[in-house]
Amino acid sequence: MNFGNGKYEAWQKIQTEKITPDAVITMVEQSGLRGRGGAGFPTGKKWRLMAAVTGNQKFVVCNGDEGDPGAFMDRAIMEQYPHTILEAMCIAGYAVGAHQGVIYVRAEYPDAVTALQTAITQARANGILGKNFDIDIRLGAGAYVCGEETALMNSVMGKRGEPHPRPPYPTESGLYGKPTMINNVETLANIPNIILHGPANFPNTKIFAVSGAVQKCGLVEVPIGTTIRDLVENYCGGAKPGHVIKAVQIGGPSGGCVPAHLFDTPLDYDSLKQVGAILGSGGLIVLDETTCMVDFAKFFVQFSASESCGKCTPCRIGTKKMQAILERLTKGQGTPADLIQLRTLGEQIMATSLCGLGQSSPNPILSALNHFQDEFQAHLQGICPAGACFHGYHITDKCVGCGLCAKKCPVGAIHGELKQRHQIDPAVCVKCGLCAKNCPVHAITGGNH
Amino acid sequence: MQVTINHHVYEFKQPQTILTACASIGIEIPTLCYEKSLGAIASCRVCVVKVVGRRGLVTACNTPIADGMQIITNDAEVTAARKTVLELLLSDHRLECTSCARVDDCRLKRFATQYGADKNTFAPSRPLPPIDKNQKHIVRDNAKCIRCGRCVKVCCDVQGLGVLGTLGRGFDGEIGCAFGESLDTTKCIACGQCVAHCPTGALVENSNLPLLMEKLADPNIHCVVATAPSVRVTLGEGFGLPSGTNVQGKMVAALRRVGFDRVFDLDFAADLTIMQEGHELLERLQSGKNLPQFTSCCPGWVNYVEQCHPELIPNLSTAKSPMGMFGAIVKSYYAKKAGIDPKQIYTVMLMPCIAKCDEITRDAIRDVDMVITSRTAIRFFKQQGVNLAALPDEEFDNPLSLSSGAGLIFGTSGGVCEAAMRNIKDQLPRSIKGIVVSGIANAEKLIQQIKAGQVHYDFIEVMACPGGCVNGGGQPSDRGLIQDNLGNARKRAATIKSMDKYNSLHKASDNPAIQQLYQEFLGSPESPLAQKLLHTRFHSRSK
Repeated sequence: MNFGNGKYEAWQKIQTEKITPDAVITMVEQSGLRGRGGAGFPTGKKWRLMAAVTGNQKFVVCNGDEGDPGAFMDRAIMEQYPHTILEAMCIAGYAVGAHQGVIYVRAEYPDAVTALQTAITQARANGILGKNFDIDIRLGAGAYVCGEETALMNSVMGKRGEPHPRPPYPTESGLYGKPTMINNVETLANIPNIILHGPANFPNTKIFAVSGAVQKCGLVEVPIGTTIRDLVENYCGGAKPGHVIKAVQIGGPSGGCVPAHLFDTPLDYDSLKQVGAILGSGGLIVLDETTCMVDFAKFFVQFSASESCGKCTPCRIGTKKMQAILERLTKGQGTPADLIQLRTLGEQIMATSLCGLGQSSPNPILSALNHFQDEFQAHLQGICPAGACFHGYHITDKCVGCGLCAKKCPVGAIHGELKQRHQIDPAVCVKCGLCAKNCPVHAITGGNH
Repeated sequence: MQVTINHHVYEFKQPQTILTACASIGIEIPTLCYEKSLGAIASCRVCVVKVVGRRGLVTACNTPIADGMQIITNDAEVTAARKTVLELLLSDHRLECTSCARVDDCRLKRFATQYGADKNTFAPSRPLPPIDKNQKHIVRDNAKCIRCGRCVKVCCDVQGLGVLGTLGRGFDGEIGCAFGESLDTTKCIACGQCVAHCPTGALVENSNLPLLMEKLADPNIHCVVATAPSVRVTLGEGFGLPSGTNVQGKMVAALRRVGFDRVFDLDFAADLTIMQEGHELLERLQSGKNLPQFTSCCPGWVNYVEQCHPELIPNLSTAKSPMGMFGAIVKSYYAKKAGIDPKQIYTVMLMPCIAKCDEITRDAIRDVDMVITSRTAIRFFKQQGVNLAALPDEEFDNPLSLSSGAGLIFGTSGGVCEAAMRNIKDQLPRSIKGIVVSGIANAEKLIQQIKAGQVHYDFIEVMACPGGCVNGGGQPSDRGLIQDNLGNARKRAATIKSMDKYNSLHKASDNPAIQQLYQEFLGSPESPLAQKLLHTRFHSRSK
């Protein structure tokens, strides 16, 4: 059987060799496959739990709501290997006793939707789908939180995409109140190979979407356990010429950053957790010295605040307050108390939020704070080491008080007594950079200086 | 099962949540979004506790206890987390407690005070949104909304209306009607359950107290008030008395203290309604037309029929509600008897209900000048320095007050049906089937079953609020630590039922004041005067 790019060899193997559902689940368990969507729940265990649930109607759902900024692993799989997804869902349905599958794809992936739709039509025409098992597609409407499984199910049912508290778990009461199992696209894409080649031969690879300050960006599939250094230096060509890599951010808005001195950390679920990051869905952003960690943390908290569904208090209001603190810091208006509040509030949001999105949203901020404490402290002094913040210039204590900068300033923003350290009024400064260019002792920071 | 709570071991037999388990052993956990009949929403996160072995903190409202579980409810981390959640809620809150209608029973204020939450811990993130005062009956102040989701849940799940929902997302999202429309343009039936479930002052009924004070102060106006059956068992809660305390006599005294010229009992008019409605049912049973007959004394239910099921209008009883009948009788029979110009009479109704505020905008009910809810009355008494709990019991004024127990039980679900049957059971031409339903979602289910021919009834009592008027949208909310409006309403209903038991007048037709009214004034239930004053018509307002 061969149509589109689908061969359905694993599915045929199950049928010809009469592999029982229980044996299929055992193979998945033995492979050690863990969920690729972020939480890393053992896939075999999930299937085993679902198979044990009694019920005349069960659903398997493929989560294709890939929303992490800079992540596009699932998109590539859905666009290029849609039949692999369908095959894996057939196997999943067979293994857990479900007769209906749903693929939830974000509407921002029109090519993936078309590819999946075409594949479903082909699979139905070839008798793969439509008899014992069928699959429908549901489109997301752009909310990040709909990647969270309880919110996803609400969205599939046409309700507001908000998470609900667990219990009940989806395997107890999911879509339309029926037992439901949700697997990520990349997780499912591994299933046919496990069945076809046996769990012992499962290579256990993970795709990373690498972007940022490396020579080669893009999707990289490496065995789990590869070190960060190996990935960054060997697979992605290392730093751009003249720059120094200082950290990678792994796991998107739920993940954290790993500083360069920890680059020998292997890319696996548990090692990354120990250094304050997560494997997550596989988004990996490489940062060099031109990125300010405070500004970077602000980006992620802005993302979390604007993508919060607003249902629970800590995520809805707490992320907004964290954003305000980081905005103050990047404007040079932060205080030592802000740093304390940032950490306490972050920890409390993690402890008290309703769903995984809120519980993990402070991760990028707290890990940046832990690993780059000095950059945060510098911002309290009005200094951004990366030169990214304050949109303006700052006179350091190297100033000898010659007054040349004040003379050169076209808008009269610089004041000071002769032979005393001068100061720039940020409300007046137009950030032209003439002061820094003319300073004889290089006492002015900001811009590229 | 054995559960360790704050280092002490307890034995629990029943499966339950951490919240109820802790409450049963005297450990208090604050809740804002949890209301027993709505179930766990788990949005406010103020009920968090620590469970050893679990990541982060868990919400007590929806986490079941398990054998061997170790729970900490009050260490520094839990206390600080709760305080932070409260401070986050306060940061963008219109903190005007002194002028807030809900200051006495605001749950946010209660727990924020308990935890010493400081509004200034976090700077506000936006200008306060404006107060929406443009809706007919309900004022919405989203600057006091904590987004607990109770109003949405009660509107969607309990009432099946789905008028309220969350608009937008995240911090900038807010509760409102679809497309930001006013409640008045939706199929809102004004039941007021959203207001009764609001734990803060984000939803309140329009205050008509300034106008009321003006009328009470005017020496040329004869102010009469009538009190609905259910309010005498709820007003006491506003003055620290236990749920369901009968304060009928104190209520009468309080209404006199604030300046009403006459205080009447609406139970009298409930008896009158049963006379007319029972007679109507007998006629319909004889003719076989427009059956089943639905009750029409609940204005929320009538709104629902007119807006969503206009095809059922012929099935509604044409008898006016007790309030409508009372208004008509006051300005005709009573005015004549007392020798007062009807134009000088100002009729106020003390009701458990916001839909009653809506009902007086109907043409046929224009004899009633004002409705105040029991919540508003509690505030009014307090403003006037009238401590209801400390007053002596006083009697209602005559002649419009003497009533049977049948009139009183109008205040609880099932009461109207029961009152009707007491009156007419000896005159029924055949055995009939009746049913009682409360809550609009339940009513809708029944309507669908009737339409599908699955069930057949002759007489159907519908109350929009679950449990009837004792749980009305204008009633004070339960002040319990674990809020349970319906459970509270059951206590109120129990008081009404025991008061009915001790009333020597069992049925409406035994009431001598009612007999006198028919003899002196109306004639019989079918007389043209009775039909003109005591009956009304309904119109389709399909939306």
